[in-house]
Amino acid sequence: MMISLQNISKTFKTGQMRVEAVKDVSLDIKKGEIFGIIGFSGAGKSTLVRCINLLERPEKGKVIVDGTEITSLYEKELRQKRQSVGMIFQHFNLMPSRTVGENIAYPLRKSGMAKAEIKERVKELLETVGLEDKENSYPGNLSGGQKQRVAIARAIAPRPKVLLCDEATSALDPATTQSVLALLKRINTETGITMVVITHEMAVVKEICDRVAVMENGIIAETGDVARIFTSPEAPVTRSFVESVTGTHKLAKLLEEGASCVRLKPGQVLARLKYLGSSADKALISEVSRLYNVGCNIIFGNMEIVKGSTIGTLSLIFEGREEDIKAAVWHLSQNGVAVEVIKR
Amino acid sequence: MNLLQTLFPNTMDKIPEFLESIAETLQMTAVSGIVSFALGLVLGIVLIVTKKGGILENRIIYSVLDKCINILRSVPFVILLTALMPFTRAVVGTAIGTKGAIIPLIVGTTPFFARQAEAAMAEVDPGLIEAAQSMGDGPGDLIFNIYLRESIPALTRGATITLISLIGLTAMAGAVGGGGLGNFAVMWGHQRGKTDATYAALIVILLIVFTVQAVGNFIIRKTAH
Repeated sequence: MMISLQNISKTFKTGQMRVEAVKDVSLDIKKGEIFGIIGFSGAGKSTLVRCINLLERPEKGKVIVDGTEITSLYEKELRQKRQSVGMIFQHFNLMPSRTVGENIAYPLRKSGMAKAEIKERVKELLETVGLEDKENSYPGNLSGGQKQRVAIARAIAPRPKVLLCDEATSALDPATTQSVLALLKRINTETGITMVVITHEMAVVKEICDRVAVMENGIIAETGDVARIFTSPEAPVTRSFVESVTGTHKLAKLLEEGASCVRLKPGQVLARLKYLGSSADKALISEVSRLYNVGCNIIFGNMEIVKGSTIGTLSLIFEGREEDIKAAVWHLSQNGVAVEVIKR
Repeated sequence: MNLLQTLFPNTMDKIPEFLESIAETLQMTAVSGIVSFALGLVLGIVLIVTKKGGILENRIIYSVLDKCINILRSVPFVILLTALMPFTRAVVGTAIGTKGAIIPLIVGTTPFFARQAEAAMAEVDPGLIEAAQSMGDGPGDLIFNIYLRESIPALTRGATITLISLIGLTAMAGAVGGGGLGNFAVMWGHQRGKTDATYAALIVILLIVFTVQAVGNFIIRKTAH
């Protein structure tokens, strides 16, 4: 285990109010994995990630990073230890009075490296993040995506074992988000660095995480492999996150609004089909339509590739005799498609 | 030269006194400015690090210092000048003249600049402090590399305002026997009814103020990115 959080609790007091941001959370993060922590705002995920480098000190529980129980370290030892845990932020937090090169060199100044070595390392990092020509620019002249790349270079400069990413892409547009996520993924693959990714976007989890913990009200509602979370979410909060990506919440909205495309005539059945893995590769819809003589009116569909496995959802209206529809549903479920009848 | 003679006849008669007054004003401003800058900066740092949520939060130190500064800033400078006389005499040996004016100028200016410095450093994005802490920085690093370094433009702005207000105070100190251009304007211009001497002193004061402002703006422009 690279990171082990054991029974972490953190309470904030604001005046008379006490807010339990994190309640007795335990979590293990393996070496080299990209671990996601997802939750709506106020779920406690930012507080939890700050407990990993003790920017927030939990009042209860132990934090063990790379074999050291950092909750028992003295301030000075803790500062030393923090150099092996990099962190990037939603608003980049680059020092505006320093150039890009000086920002990246900042965490190296106490590393004992010679000036020339530092210069070399900065060059190398600028190459890694694709900003070779920006060494002497000031952060104020960079775009959001470029700023986050500089922040990543600065965070990994001392070759930390862990990189904490706190909503690192939340201030970026979708295209920039993709490229920053790709950069993080590449750094993870090339250096084997363990990453903890805090986000409120399931798309980010889908893109780069190996495992994910879903947080709600200061507790972890569910933890698991990303593929498992996507295919069979258990907690309601997880389901709503998964639906935000697969688009199934749109169907609920259509039903709520009573849109004409989901208004059923007698004999019609509205159903949601969930395909997993190989079942997504077969022409099952035309197969059942042919075999059982049922009409299939597709309302919408979606397909996601998560960790190499295909996850598809399809909302459609079956039309035909009741027993034929039943047989069709049975046929589909025999072929690995989960069918959920929504309305008949 | 003829024009000056026509416009400022009484000032031209008192050229040595006039030049000496300018020198005294500059001396008072420079000495008390440098000392107040150093002391005010230290106090500003203490305020910023000990305040609620600061990196060395300490309620007692903060509230004591905060109240002292408020009290000192509430005292009108003319009263401060006379109230401090025994103290000034004990420290520099005299309570009058340029030398005697410097202590009250420092006491009057330091709290003002401490507030300016506190405000300047309060503008530093807390995210920078958090980022530096995440890189293993301790309080010393945070003060020098983040708070001071990142607030140079704002500190310069505060220092410029302070210096200009200090020039104003030196003129007031002059009126009660501190020497300098204030003294010149009151003694030669006002009391002897030679108005041109007052205007001459005023013009020089304005030139000093404009120079200070211009230098301040130049530094801000050079350091803000």
